[in-house]
Amino acid sequence: MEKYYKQYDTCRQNEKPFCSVACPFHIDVMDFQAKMANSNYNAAFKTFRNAVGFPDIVAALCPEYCASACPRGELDQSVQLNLLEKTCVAKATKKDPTDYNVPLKDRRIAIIGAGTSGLACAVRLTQKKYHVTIYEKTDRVGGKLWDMLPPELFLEDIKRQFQFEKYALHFNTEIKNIDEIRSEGFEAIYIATGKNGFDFGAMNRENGHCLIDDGIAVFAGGSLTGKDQVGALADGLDMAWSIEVFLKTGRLEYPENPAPCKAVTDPDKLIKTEGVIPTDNGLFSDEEAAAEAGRCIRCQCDACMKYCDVYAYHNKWPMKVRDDIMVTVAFSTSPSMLKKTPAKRLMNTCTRCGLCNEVCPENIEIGGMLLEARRYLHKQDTMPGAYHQFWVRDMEFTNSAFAALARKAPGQGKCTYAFFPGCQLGAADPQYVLEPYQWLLSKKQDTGLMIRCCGLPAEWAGNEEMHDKEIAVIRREWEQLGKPVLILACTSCRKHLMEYLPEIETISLYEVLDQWGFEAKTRKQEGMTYSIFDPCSARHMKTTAQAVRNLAGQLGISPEELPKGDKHGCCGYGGQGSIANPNYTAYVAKSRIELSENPYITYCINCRDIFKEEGKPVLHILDLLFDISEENTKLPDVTERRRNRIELKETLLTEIWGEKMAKKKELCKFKLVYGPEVKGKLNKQKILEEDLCEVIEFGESSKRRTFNPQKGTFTCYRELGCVTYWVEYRPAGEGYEILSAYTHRMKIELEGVWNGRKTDTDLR
Amino acid sequence: MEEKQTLICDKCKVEMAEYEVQFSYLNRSFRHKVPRCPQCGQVYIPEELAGGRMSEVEKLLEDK
Repeated sequence: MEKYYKQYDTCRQNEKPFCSVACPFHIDVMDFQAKMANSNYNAAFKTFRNAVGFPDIVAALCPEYCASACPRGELDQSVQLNLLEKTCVAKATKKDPTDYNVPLKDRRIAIIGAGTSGLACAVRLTQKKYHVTIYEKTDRVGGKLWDMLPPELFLEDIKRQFQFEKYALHFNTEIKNIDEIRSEGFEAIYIATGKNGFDFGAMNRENGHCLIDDGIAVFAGGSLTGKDQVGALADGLDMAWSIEVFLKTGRLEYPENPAPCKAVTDPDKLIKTEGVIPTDNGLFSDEEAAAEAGRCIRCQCDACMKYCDVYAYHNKWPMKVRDDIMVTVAFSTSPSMLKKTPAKRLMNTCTRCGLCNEVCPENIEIGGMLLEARRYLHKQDTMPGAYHQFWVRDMEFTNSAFAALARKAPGQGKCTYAFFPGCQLGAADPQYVLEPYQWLLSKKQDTGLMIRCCGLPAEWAGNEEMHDKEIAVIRREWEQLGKPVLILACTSCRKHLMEYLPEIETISLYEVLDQWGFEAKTRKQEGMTYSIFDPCSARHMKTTAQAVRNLAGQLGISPEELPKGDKHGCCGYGGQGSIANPNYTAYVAKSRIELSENPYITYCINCRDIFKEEGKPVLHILDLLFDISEENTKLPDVTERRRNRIELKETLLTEIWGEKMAKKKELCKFKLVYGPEVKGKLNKQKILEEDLCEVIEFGESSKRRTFNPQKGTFTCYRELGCVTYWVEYRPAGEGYEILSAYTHRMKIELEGVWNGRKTDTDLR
Repeated sequence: MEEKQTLICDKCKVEMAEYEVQFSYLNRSFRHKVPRCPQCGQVYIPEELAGGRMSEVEKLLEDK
């Protein structure tokens, strides 16, 4: 976990944008622009004033250092930040500073020179209630401002900013030597004597323009050190910071300059928009200000927010997500320390598509961190059991004797290749496995078969122990077959096996079809337009992606590419987060569907199922090649998927090996009848007919059930794993009619103990 | 208004009544009144409760 935590050290989330780096005041541009865009001038003014000290003066003098840094400059016109500032100071109505009721500090600071820099330093320090004395050799404040601005403008601003502060100001007092004021008890002195002024020997020292003279810190800044008027003002504010640091720590330090902005400008946001021309006497109207603020594309590294579904859906920035994960994991290890687990659901939504570290300029991988966090939850038994129970049971069923198969081809002693279709292909329709396998046999007689789940559900559930066992079984079966090259139909299985069983050589079914000379039976879709949706797990399987395109081309389809190619996330199936957060998976599926209006061709059965469920016209490439299902073919429900798996094994044994299935499992002990409404409900809640039968069997045998005389129905329940299943039913002929079924995750406690004695011992 | 449904415990053949039941989820326990058999204590949770309030509390605890 530490490893994943540390990778965020280089996250650019808090990086300042280009303009802010160039600005001597490092204004919080994001905040300022957001407020200007909402015509919230008073709030924008506050942001501006907090950054610059004297807002009216700076708005009037600002030479727009930011303009040359703005990425808009090269496209149309830099954002006119100075005009926005001018509009802001003109339109703000609450311009007085805040009067903090804080007692004066007994720390004395001298400022030599009442020009812009000296005043800026003084305003900051007096606002922090330091005891400030200003010495000015002339008889007025403002210095060079008298030559640059109308006196009423800057004098008004100075008066306003100092209105609540106490300070001493000595006119006509020229200080030429520190000794003149040494007896005043100053701890720090700021020399702002202007261009060619006295520097008291503070200039160009080891640490910059500063020194410690007999315990007194002396800083030189402003025009004295060659800055222009605005730079000198900013310098005054910085020196106030340095003086405060000295008073607190005794060290001579300067504020750090922000690191250069490394954000990659987002071309989607940088759309040519000419600068707004002000029509309100050289200032922007409300609409114009909002439009100009809207031209600012808020340069900030947001690659993850844009591409990663986890960040985008939760609308949380990377640091926040990292911290939430750490808090949740910390809870798992020591519940007494922290009471919250804010990321429990979030960490179960990641689809494991792997896009996060590919789009991040610093390659920060949140996916790995989330998977590690799931493992923590599992180990500490704080993972909500229902999140993954269905999927893990589904995997166990696929790998049971009723559905799994690992065989050499009939009559073959060796096995050069073996077809590994994955768990969901045969569940969707047995033909998806039967047809390609028969074709493979026709091409290479010694192609074996391995039907089982690759173990991904165990990994996604964070169950390492179970996952290791699954991987070990695959390795053993593969060795027993004679270490064949595995032909995989599912790119997720392939990616998974490549990671955990690198010793196994794999190839995708689609490459094999392309290379071994597949000829399609029909060309029904000839001339039609489809977009190819590459599954997220195939992002680095370029030859597979090409093979699918070749196959589609063979069928007379000219496949179109999605606007961002394969730089998109998962369809929503990955990570199996649909139970943890169904809204999230629906959001992900919808985002992928909207990538193109064209119907899709995909080569992952999960993508096909998810998109179809959401109403998108979509076909699996095997549909086109072997004419298996149509766009309007209905998807099987959860129970039918299990039946399909059994049927697949049975058919394979009969048709390929001429055998009968040794042990045929009856999925359901009873004959169940129910209408389409109940069927939909069962499928949505992922309740299997097997589950219903188990509940009914218990109710019937124990009579522990509730009778509803009005409806003539019985209701009973059974806890299966972490989920409690309830069924309302009534006997119908030889079986039962199901009226309703529902589940909950809470456990009913102590039901068997009633009135102080144990009444039932057979309750789970 | 919908007529109140009578529920009978099929084991004891007596009418069920509202009693407290203890529930637990994610290391937290709480009590709520639901129909129970006064004799054997059998619990009945109506669909509206499971899909409504219970599901809400489950979500709350998962996010807490």
